[in-house]
Amino acid sequence: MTYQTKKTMISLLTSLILLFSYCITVYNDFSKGLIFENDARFWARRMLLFIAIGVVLNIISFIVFHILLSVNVSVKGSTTDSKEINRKLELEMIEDEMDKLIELKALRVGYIVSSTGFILSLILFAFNIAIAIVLNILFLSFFVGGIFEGFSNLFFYYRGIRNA
Amino acid sequence: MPKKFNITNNVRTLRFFANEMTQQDLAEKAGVSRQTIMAIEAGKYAPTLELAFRIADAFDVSITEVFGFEAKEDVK
Repeated sequence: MTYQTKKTMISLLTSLILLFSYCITVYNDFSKGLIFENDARFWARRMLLFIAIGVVLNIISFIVFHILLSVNVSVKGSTTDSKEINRKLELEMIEDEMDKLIELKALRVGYIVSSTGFILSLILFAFNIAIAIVLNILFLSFFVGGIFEGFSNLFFYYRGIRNA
Repeated sequence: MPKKFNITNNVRTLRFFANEMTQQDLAEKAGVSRQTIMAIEAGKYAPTLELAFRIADAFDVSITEVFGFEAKEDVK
């Protein structure tokens, strides 16, 4: 498994953890009767909180990932020379044309999913559906879009992009 | 309808004749990741012209000795 696939898996895992924790929190609050369907301010606060948690979680997971990667490189190469470790890390972390192409293709998949969710939320809003549902569909579609992007990334690495 | 073509390559053979050069060595010489070399060898990725030239340069051969071009068989 290479650096790019590992990186994608870490980001995918973070997104999945966030998505599940958001769903569980909302479900718990809903069962306790703490949520009011038309309280847009509540939903805005809740979503902003989860966006902030997401940013922090992503930063932490990537720091931990890079520390573990450095340890792995130093153990594999049986060296403690920082220059040699940095050289090996740079080689490992290289992002070339195939990586960029796969990233673009995966990003396109992510955008399609997110924009479908956006359009769906607008349609629901036009039909006077509760603001809580509209906002949640909008919010979740961006999460799901990110998850689709990650899975497409892994899929393209596995299958290859022959007809690029 | 225009014919479809496959890009073939001799990267594995050329690596063998270059003292069993490793994929990592070739990747370093061509300035790409080992994963990209693996994908090219397996025919999962058709490189850009620039990368194709860089790979040929790494083996010190012409581009046509590394990459070929063949018509795809019709699937019936």
